[in-house]
Amino acid sequence: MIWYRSNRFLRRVKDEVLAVFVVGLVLAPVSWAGAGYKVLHAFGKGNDGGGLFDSVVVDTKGNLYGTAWGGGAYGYGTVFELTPGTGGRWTETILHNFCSQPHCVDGALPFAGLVLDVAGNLYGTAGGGVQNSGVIFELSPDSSSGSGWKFQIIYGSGSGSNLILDKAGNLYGPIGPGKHDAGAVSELVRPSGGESRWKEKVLYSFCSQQPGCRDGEPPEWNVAWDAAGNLYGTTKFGGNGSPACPGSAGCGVVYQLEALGGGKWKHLVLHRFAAFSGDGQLPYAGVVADSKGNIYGTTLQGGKSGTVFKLARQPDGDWKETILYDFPNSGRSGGGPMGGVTFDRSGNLYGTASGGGDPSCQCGVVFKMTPAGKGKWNYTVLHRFRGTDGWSPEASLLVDDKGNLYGTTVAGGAGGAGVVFEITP
Amino acid sequence: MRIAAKSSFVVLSDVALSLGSLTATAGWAQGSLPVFDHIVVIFQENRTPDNLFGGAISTTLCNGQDDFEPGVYIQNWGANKNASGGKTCFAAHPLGPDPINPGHFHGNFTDMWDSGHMDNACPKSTDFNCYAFVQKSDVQPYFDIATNYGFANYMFQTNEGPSFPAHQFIFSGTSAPIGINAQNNFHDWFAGDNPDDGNNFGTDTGCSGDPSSQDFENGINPGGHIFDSWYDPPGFSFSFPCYEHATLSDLLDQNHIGWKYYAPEEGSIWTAPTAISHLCGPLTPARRCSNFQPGGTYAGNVSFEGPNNTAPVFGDIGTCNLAAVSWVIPDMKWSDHPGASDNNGSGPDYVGNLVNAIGNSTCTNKSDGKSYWNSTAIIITWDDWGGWYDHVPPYEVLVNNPPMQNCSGFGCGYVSGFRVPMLVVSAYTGVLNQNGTYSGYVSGNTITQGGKVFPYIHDFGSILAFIENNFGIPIGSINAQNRYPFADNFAPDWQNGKNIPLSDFFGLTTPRTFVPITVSHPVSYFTNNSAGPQGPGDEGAEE
Repeated sequence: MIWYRSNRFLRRVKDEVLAVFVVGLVLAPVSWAGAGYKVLHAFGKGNDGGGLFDSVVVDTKGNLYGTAWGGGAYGYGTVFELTPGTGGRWTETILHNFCSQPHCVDGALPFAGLVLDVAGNLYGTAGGGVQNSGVIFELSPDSSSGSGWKFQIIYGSGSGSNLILDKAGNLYGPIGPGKHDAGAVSELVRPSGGESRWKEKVLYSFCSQQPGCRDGEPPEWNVAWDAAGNLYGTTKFGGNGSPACPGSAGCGVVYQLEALGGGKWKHLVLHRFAAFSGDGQLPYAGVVADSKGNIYGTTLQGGKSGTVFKLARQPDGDWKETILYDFPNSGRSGGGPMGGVTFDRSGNLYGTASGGGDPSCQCGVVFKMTPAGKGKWNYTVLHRFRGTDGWSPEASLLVDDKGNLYGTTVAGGAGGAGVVFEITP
Repeated sequence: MRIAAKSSFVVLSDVALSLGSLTATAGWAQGSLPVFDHIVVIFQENRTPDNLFGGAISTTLCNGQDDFEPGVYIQNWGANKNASGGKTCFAAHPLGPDPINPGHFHGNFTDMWDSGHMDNACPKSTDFNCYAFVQKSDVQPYFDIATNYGFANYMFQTNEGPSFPAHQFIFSGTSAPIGINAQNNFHDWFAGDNPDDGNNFGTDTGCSGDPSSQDFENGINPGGHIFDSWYDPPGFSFSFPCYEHATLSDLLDQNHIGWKYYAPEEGSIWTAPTAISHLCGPLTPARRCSNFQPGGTYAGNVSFEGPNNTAPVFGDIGTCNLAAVSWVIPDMKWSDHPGASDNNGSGPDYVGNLVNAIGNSTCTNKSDGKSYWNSTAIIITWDDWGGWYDHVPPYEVLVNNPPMQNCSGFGCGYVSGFRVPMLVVSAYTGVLNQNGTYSGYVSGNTITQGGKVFPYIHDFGSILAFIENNFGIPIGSINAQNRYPFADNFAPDWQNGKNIPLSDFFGLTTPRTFVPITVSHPVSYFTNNSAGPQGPGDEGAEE
């Protein structure tokens, strides 16, 4: 889930949650003529972290926060802050070095990004922990601390995904094994009434539909809200199996968890990938919803070299998939998207493709998709990575209210271990 | 041996109860796993589950499933678009010697996979001879291990190629030449096939090799394209296979955990450490790497066969010197590798003797006083599919056919390969029956765990991750300091922290008594074989 940077974002979590869906507003389209790419920070030097597999979040001051999978003081990754300064310079501050405690009980190797609440607290997930069970952590502003931040484990359970918040400050995402050992989407309920511990509440356990886990397994990426308070997500496997899907584990699904009220949720498979020749396969990211409740996402494979898809609810209640873009087999346009898509205020979509692009590097692109009427979309490459400016963008993008894009790469850049970049209109 | 008190094992379903079992293992066993003092990885050669275990019911050829025990997923026929009727029944073959040695380079993978159709194996052979199973009588010890201890339905080779890259993967989680680099991209390429310099089968590949041999190794980019000229290591040229990246052995060294890598010979494609610059061999001073240190990690931990010691691992077990982690690479003669002069059919007895040597050992650990049997996990797997047909597609294939610009994340262009057999032996592996006896545990059991693939999909990365977890190391750590993850981080049964890889194999809460494996060759046949050491050489065009 990628958030807008706006004052509303920090005023009310509800607004945060809804902001991403307010994409149907007719605002002046952003012109991308002369779009400028800039590396804000290159990772991999000294005790710096590196390997950025997820995007960054932003606070009201424009500071960016994210995680680096490896490196850092102890070699097991970091939480970092990038602060804008004068002259376009950005300063990196390490908020936490993982594995700072014996046996890495404070976590290690964070694969997913962060979520920011209204009070400025950061929440994230990491591996390591007690007996490699993983951790969910909170970083809170703390003026009494030398670093200015207080780090604490709030839950000891594995989740490789980033989490999202509801308006009450509870966390949601793929957490825990569920009833069938195939993963679950859970709510982590914030302590209240004198309680001290966060409590896990399973919303849905996957692989309930046997045989073949037609309902998907396991949920691996972030979930997303729609305006009605329903949750949406993808599973990497399950759904249609072989021979429709070339992999024996299945090609994944898009699911909805409909909020029924009273803490009850109803699971519905919106689409099983590899449904037809040319359909997408293997979603490697979550989805987003627009203000009309349509769902957008990407698949790593299927089509020619991955897809951008849209799911729209039909009058009869069924959901119909449309392939908005089929990455070609030519390379220069990119291929193999591993991050999701993000809307700007004008309803344009932005994303990354991990491969293709510059022929000498083939290390990914940043792309933009513009509605062209009658359900058509125009696809434009905004940046082709060349290695020295980043390599393998595998995450979604952040779009701020000025239309600036922020993103990350896993590798490349001056330090070789990835970059945080900005693209300005 | 430490056993955590918490247990999260799943209660059996009604189906399983009807089979007479009391408990079964399942995934998500974080916090409930036994902790082993020793992990032994036995890395045999070139088989698939359908090939090695397809001979259980030879009278029902081409008749669907071939189940040697309830819940296994074996089939003795295969789809074949080039054959009349679209299928080919498996033919019976001896384990060895066998003149049939199907091609198993990356190109053979893409042929057989055929974009997921799984119907184009060995298309150029005259009789589709890769559609074959091994006679059960030739591999009875493997059946005995499976039905007494653990068998995997969904174990996949991580890579899509032959021995050289497969051994790199089981040792370090990648066959990429470098871990990360600011200046070039080869961290996400892979050494794809075996080295080649024509027809010179010597033993001088890897960093310890002689550059004049002109061994060269092809590379596969993330789009699945093969390049003969790609990465030239410092000091070498023409894509010589001498690489520099982190390995699991580095992680073990950093954590003061002992390890050994047993191999037939120096400078072969099966000797994974040979190709890692900082581990650096050989033992021959004239060809050692510049930073080679006698007594260092290579000399102290890599053990080769000698003329009168053709299986040194038995000696270390016998003298109570079993390392914490052992990679055990067999002599060619008992490797199971197909070919007219490759294996002599004694592989199952070799593996059975290794299991017996540990199970019957009177050694105890100095640290905790536990017996080897109660404190050792033995993982037996095969390095690649050998070109043999197997009916289960890879769980995911991050390359398309024909090659195209796909993605640039780890594994793109070269992950995942076909199924390979995996057997797991330990005092905590098996199913306790109602009558107090034990039977074999089947991971991904089609009856009790039917239809569900997670967390029962395993690969070489799962083994590496299991080792990391066992010794208290964060899973996925091999290349963490270089900030780019390898296969240990992408183990399919790990999925970013949701399950301890291979944990489903260790479901017994109390150690069981060792049940020996019946073998026909004595240990001495392997430890002092008159034929002397035999490895694959430096190219192994057919290995």
